[in-house]
Amino acid sequence: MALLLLALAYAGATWAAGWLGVLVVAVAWGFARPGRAPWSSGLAAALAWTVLLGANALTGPLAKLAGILGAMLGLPALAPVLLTLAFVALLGWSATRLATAIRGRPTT
Amino acid sequence: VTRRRAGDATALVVLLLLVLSSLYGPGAAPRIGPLLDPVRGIWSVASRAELPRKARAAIPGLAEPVVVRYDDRGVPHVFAHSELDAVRALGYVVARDRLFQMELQARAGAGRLSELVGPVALRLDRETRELGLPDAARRRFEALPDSSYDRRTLEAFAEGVNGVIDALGARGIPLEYHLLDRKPERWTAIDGLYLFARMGLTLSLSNLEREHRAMDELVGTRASDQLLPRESPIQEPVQPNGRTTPRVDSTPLPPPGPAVTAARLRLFPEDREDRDEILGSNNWAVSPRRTAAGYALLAGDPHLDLTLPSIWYEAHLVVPDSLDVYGVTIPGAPGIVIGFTRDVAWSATNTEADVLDLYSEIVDQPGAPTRYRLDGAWHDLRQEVTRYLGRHGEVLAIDTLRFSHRGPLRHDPVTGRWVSVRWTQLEAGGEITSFSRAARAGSARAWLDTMATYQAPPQNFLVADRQGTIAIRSTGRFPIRPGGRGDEIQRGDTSAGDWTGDWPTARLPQAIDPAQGFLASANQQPIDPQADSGYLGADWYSPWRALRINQLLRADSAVTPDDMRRWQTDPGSPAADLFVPAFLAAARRFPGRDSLQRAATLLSQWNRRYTRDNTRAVLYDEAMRQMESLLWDELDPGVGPVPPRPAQAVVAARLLPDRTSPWWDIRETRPVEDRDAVLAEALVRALAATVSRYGDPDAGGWRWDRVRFDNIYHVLRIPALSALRLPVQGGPGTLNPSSGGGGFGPSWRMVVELGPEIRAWGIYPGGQSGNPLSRRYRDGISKWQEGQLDTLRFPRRATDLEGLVSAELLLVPPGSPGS
Repeated sequence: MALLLLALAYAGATWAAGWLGVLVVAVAWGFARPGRAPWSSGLAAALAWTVLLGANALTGPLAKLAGILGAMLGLPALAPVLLTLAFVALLGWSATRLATAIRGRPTT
Repeated sequence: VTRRRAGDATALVVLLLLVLSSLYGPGAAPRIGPLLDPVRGIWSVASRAELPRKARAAIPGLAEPVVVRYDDRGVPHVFAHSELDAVRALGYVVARDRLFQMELQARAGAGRLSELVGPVALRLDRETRELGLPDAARRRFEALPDSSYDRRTLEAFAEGVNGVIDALGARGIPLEYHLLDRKPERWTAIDGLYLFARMGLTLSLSNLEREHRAMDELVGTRASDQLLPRESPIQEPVQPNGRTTPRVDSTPLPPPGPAVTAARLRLFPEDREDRDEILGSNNWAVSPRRTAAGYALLAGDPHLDLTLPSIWYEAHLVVPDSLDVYGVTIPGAPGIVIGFTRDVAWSATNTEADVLDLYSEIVDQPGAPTRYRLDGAWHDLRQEVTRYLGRHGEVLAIDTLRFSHRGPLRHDPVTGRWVSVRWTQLEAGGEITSFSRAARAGSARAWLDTMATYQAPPQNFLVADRQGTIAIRSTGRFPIRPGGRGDEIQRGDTSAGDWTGDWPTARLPQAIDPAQGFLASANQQPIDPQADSGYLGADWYSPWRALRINQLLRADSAVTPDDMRRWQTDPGSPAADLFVPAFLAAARRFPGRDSLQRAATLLSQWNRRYTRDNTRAVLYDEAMRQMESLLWDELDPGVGPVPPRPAQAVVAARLLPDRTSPWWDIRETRPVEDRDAVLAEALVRALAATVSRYGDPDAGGWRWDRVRFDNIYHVLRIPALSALRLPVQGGPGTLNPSSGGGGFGPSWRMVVELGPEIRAWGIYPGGQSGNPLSRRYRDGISKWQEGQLDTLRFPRRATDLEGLVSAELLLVPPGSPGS
């Protein structure tokens, strides 16, 4: 449930402020919930952007665009999509992990 | 703890990389975060691939609402209450579909392309500014009174374009801006003039002087005069000369002479170095008495750079009791350039006249001149320091531009001399008014009269009307030189070499309702020098296309629109009709050479038509290349850039009857070769080269559609956004020419029948949308390849389009209810 809520926050933040919104939410999440594994933050960020990409796919030829971008990179059509999701997942994970480290991890 | 710290360190490095690449971008690449953002980044382009079914927008300056209906081909039909509102709406609809292309072209004309695409465009920007094009556009704009038609039209168009830009939002930005990490720049009224400047650069920049000097250096002036002749050796002029067959000059070509050692000029290093890559256009019209239906017919077929998006955009503008014009516009131009109304239809081919002269100047300081000598006195040069900026505003270069009273002063790096350029393109004006008035002309004669003010670039305007009149005129400003010719560098220190006036309209090459019942132009010499020997230019385009059009028109006295359509992709080749028999005759003189006899047998199997499935044109094509290489070996300096060559085999054709001309001799061999020896050798070499490249003749590799392609590159030359390796019917010198890299060709094919109701057909190699994701990005290409045309919708009222409307747009003044 927390993962879904976090994904929702990521989606909202992206809508409001783009990739910087992701950074802000990831840092806030790291400070607020230092006990959570940082990879779950990355996963939620990727989930959020998957949904946003899906929304684009519903309203236009996203697969065609992926094919064009892939061809420009000399890669298959799926590659730009995976690159996008990898970007946001790494952004979410790394920012949360650093925020957690700064905040200090809870002792177990 | 160590593992955790290592993990934290990794996260820090990853985060830094991601944030830095999102804030600044890696190298020349766009910033990654903004690019990949699914809401505002490149992925958002997918949701704007097509125009919405219904839309409404407010445009500042609009006086009354404008209804725009897009037909089933995506063509906007604009119904406005005033001409300026129609122009505003045109700006809006073109920007809606082609915003990036518009900005790219306007920046190219302004010499500011590197601000958009980076240092890769610096050379082009420098050339544009050094030639004085943006300077001339600015001066022309500043000279326009506020109330002038041109200024008001340019401003109205800009208001329409900015109506799109201002309402764009992050999600509406075209794909290319995301790739370049840029945002659209607001359109200014002067941008329209930069666009005209850009077209002038494409259509009327010629440097005959340089080519002439380069040839002088190799074979002497007497020979070079004939290799770049003022008079085309085969005359089939634009203005009919009363003959029923072409007039052929069969006087012997002067032999190669002693070299003139003066160094050649390199002022325009990019100028026509690959003479296989040629622009060219066709148009022709037929009088009612030679058409099946008894109505005048007109075909337009301008050949230009093939790009995606296309160089053209179709539109229809309607203002009750004032304007009803359909045709194509260049995105950024505030009107229709080629098209038709309820009364007339018109098209254009490039006249290829010489409208640019060079003057060698004496300057005070060769390193950094400030004054130049004229008629015994020193005169100040106008100087302007210009900065070239990169994508992020960084200064890439700073130059000082200098201008004499003639025009821009350029430095020749080879000789160190300063040469000023006088070019009609830099002194032009009034084109917008001319086209606007022409769109309201009621007859062909009235159309030509209104275009008398048109100056540059010079065009062969062909026009036909509903009364059955057909007419053509080489239109523009053609300077008169005191020395009689403009293909040699003039002395700059005396005004005695300056232009003394322009050709009067009555003297321009032209014809109205000629006795032959048809008119045709294809960039050939416009007037037979036996009719008027005045200097209009030299080194004319080869007459092959003109010969073929005239051949087809003479043979048919009941022409139909479908004939006109078929002829636009006619595969016949007058050049092949001349050279193939010569090759075969040469082969018969050497019966003992097996490889020659095999090549001749293969060549004789060709029907001399460049159809896609033919398997012998490839051999002929290679044989011509080999022949020209052997024939013009005197013009190969052995080092340096590609040498100039006589144009497209037409001078070689003049040599054919002269079997023992010294030009046929191959310099590097001891025996003296004659024509047949050279043709035979070329054929043998061609067979070897063709087999080596494409395999055995009947193994499939020789099919024309496997060796010859057109390539329609995206304007940024991104292959993934381009349409490449498109097989087409046609070859060098055919009506649908295909040569060189395949990047030039028919850019808008149109046929108009001027009956009681206008009927029209057209196609261009692309589509209305500039969005590569749209189904209208390249939907015209397959029909264009096949030589098919679409029926053009020409409704009188918005309601006439019922059942054919693909999208609707209502444009309203700001503050209107719901705006």
